[in-house]
Amino acid sequence: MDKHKSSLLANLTGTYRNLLTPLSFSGLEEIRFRVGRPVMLYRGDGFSYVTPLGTETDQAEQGKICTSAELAALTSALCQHSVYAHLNDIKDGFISLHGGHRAGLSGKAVMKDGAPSGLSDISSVNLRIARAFPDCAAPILPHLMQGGRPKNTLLIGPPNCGKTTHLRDLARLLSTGYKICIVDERSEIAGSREGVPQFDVGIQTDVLDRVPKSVGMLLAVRSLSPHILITDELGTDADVDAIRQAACTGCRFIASIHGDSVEKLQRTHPDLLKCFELAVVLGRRGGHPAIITTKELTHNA
Amino acid sequence: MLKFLGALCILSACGAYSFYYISCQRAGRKATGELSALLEHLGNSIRFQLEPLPSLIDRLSADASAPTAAFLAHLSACLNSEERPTLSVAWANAVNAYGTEHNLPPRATSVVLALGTHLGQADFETEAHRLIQASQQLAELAKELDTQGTTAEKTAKTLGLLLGAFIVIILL
Repeated sequence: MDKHKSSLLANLTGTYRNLLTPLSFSGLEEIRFRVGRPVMLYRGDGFSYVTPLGTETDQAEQGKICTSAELAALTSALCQHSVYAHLNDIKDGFISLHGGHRAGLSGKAVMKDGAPSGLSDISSVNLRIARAFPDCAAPILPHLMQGGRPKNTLLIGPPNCGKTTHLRDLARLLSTGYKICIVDERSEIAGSREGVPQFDVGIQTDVLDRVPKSVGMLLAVRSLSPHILITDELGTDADVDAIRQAACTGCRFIASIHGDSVEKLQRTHPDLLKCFELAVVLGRRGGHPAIITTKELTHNA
Repeated sequence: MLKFLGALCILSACGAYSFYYISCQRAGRKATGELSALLEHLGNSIRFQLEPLPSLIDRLSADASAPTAAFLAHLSACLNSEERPTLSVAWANAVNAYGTEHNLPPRATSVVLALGTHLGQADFETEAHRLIQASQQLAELAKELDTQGTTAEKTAKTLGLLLGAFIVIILL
């Protein structure tokens, strides 16, 4: 059994572990459990269902139907029977799992002071299978270095095109020569669980986990003196302000943002782009995440 | 001589039974007090350290000399078993096994079982509150059993010996 499969199955209840054990995890990206509907598998090229015998089928009516009791037990197991220890994650709709995997949750939101404070009556669980792709960011490195120092770099791409995977790999590759700090607001880059990064993020990498980016970036430059700060999903004015302030310390940045092209971002986030020297546009080719293009940005931070 | 030996045997058996009964009652009271202390400890660990229950239970059960090691060992074994049951099922199994071994009084068993049905499903303040409330209930029960226990022990000893004497008289 491969490492990713065994680490994911270790998080599950006996029912679903037995159901999924016979399946091939090759190319598997997501497993979806929805109350009253069949268990579904999502691969890069489509989806299928799991039968009660643990085989794959393309017939929905042959799929193993999830019951609410099974889903409640699964959710309890995913958060180690200790909701209190994962409440901050659950408020944001996910649970970080051992092995860097992640469970997205949906159900009835519990609101407190106008903000979600938790979820009840969980109606679906989406297990996102984490896989490291060592050296996937290696083609970026020749564009990234300038005079022995990395350029401030922005990875641009739509969802599910590997922005976080590339950031993680850049951290690993660059940490052989630089002190790196990852500001990981949603525990996606390092996949930390109980303080331990579940992915290889490099030997000289510190992780500030579950801290808002705008706060974490300033905290990092003040206390951890990194050469390079890495964070994902920039977008707010507070993020731009934090980058500008942190840039005064001489720290370099590698970050990601949702988008399709540099041109569109120049219209929607001109101030943010001014903080960066290199844009790397990511996308999907042949169903797989890929680097589409790299572009030098003419305006410096 | 034979009659004397027979009488002695009957008296000893009745006395032994009454002492066995007393030791069972004492074990139950002791287990109640120890479980009370454990629940208080779990409540404080959750409140101040937010440690997930499986690792907290594994850590505490590693100390085999701890008073409730048997309960924690049952719980840990059940949680880590191949079936991976829910916490409430594992908790109920552990309480029943520990209760049988240590003669846990029925009232104490029901308090701990009721606690297990909701354990691990709320925020840390609620969890700690529930655990400490259950701990206090057990502590009060242990105190009550202690008070009743002294009288009950005297009664058991007297009744045991009287029963023995009564049987001997009847047989003679």
